[in-house]
Amino acid sequence: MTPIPGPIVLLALPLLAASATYLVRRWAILAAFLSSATTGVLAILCLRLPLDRSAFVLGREVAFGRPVVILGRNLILDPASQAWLAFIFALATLFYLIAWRVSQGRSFFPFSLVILSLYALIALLQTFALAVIVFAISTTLAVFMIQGGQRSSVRGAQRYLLVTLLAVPFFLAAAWFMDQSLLHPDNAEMAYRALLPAALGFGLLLAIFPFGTWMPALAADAPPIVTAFIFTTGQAMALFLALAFLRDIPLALNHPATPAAIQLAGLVMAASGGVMASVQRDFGRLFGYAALVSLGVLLLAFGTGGSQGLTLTLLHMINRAVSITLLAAALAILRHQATTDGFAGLGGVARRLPIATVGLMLGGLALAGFPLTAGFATDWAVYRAVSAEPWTWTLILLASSAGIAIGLLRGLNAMLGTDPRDDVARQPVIASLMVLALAAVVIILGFYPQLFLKPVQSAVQAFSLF
Amino acid sequence: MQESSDLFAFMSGVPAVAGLILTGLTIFLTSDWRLSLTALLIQYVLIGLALTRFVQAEVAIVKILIGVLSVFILYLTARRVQEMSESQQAERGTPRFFGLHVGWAAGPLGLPLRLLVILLVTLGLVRLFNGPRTSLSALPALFAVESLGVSPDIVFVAFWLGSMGMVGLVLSDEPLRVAPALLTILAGFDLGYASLEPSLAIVGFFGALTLLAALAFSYLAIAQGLSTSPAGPDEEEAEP
Repeated sequence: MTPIPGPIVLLALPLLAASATYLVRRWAILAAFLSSATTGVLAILCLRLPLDRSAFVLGREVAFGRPVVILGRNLILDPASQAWLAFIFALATLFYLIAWRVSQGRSFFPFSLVILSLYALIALLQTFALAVIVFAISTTLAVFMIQGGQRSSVRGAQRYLLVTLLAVPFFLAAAWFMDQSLLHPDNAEMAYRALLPAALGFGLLLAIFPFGTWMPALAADAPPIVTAFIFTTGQAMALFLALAFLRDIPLALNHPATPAAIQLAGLVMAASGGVMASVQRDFGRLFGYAALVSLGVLLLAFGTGGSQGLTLTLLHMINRAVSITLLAAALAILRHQATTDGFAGLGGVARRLPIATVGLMLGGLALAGFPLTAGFATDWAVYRAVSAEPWTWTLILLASSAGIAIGLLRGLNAMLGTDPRDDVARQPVIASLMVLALAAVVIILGFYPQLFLKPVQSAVQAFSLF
Repeated sequence: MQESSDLFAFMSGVPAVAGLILTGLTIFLTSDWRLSLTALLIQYVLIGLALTRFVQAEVAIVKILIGVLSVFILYLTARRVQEMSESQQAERGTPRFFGLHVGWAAGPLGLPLRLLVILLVTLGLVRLFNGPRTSLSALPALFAVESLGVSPDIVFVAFWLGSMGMVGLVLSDEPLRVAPALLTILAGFDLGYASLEPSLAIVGFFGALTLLAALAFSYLAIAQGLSTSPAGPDEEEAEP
């Protein structure tokens, strides 16, 4: 019997699960079980199955590394894509478990599974231009789960859609120049010409200043777990595209202006996000700005260059994902029970929802890079890496972290207020236990930041950028 | 047969380019969805027509069909939103020209500002293409459009559509005004890109993206329409 090729499994399984969850979307427990089981299995397959030979899964032979040709395109799972997909599927499993207890809208399960299938396609495609279009298609689908049936504001979804779609022309232009430079290796000018549109495209996609306004708008409008899905898996795929581009055009990586430009962009993002975070009046926007600051730090880490820089970037990506998940889970409980996340309406809520309050604070502090939290180790490494730059850089980074902390303290002050909200129901048990588990992970990562170092180093080697 | 072929070849030249300039202008200027969607429809037909100079007729027809479907999606949505909207009734009293509010109450984003923006964009583009190689006029050179062998009129009209779409995005907030502006940008880009990239896979995926973008904007427009509607379907029913 012919073994099943890995790419087929990665593409078809989420799509099948999406169809099934769409049918059972009214029963959250069933939809969550189907979704989390699918992504959990896929994450395990990505972590365990070898690419160079077949393996048996539930009695069926699966050739995970075998390429397939669909519509004339070669789909191959390489080690880098395998690691990336393992991360994304594992993260999605967490989101589905949380969404089981705190509703994120009925469209979340089926649409996110289709999006995950598209992310798998991006990782499998060998053509940058097609991968970019597929990413944009995934964004158009994300709009349906961002809006999730709520009627109030469409700003977050619209801005997210706009920046991604605007990036497409730039990427296609860059890809065309890239192809020309590969066709004519003697003409280095073509490769240089790919840099400007690519920089603009990645600027839009990675929310680089001033294109980052969609992040707080999205965090304010969308259900928190949907926001976390986009901030973690979506932005991880954007980073994957950036790495794929740099792998195809090593010239971009070796250009002296590239790391400086990336670092400057990261610094400005962190600074602007920190300032804005300190003056917010609701946890949704605060979440968006804190994630923006953390993304800025991620770019700073990447800008330090070399394989160490990439290792730091990927470690920060994992820590950031855990922190965002914790913050989103706590925020989801808060919005569900208190029906608002505006500071003005949260008086006394901390007493009714102590675990959600702790989750919000800890998640926020982890995104700010505070000691004893997941964010600290990588943020500290970034501070040290930029210490060669003018001292103002370190000061700006510290100030941006302080900005998040100020925003959190203002929120906490409101939640501890003297006007008790008796209408707020008691905290949900299972969802609160999940928050506690995530909080424990955030603290454990604060004490053992090297926990994911080995798989991250393998992923860095697989990318073979340096 | 020869005559119709000659006419077709003629139409795909200057008339198509001139028509595209006008449609870009109309989409930016009007706030009436009927007019803007009609202009968008004509724009897709003209783009298909202009593209017959560079790509196979079948590909051009597919692009026209995708455009027509996108406009149809937006048209159905706009009709539904109009039925739901109360604000339309509230605005009936204000003076209108070309679908735009022209009175002082029209605010900073009304017709006078848009006319001024058109003037600035036109001057900018003319300088971009004819002026000395200063930092601004070097923009086409930066993107190397001149050296790619794309016809200059196509390059100009692609930049024109891109610029009109971009300023339209900046000055608009509602999904039903943002969607035509964004689709204009994508169509303008496609006009230049299709003559360079022959891959059918790219054509197919780009078409799918255009359709899904129209669908996503339609969903957002409906969601926004429901928020202003006094009696829409309940929250869960609005979900896909």
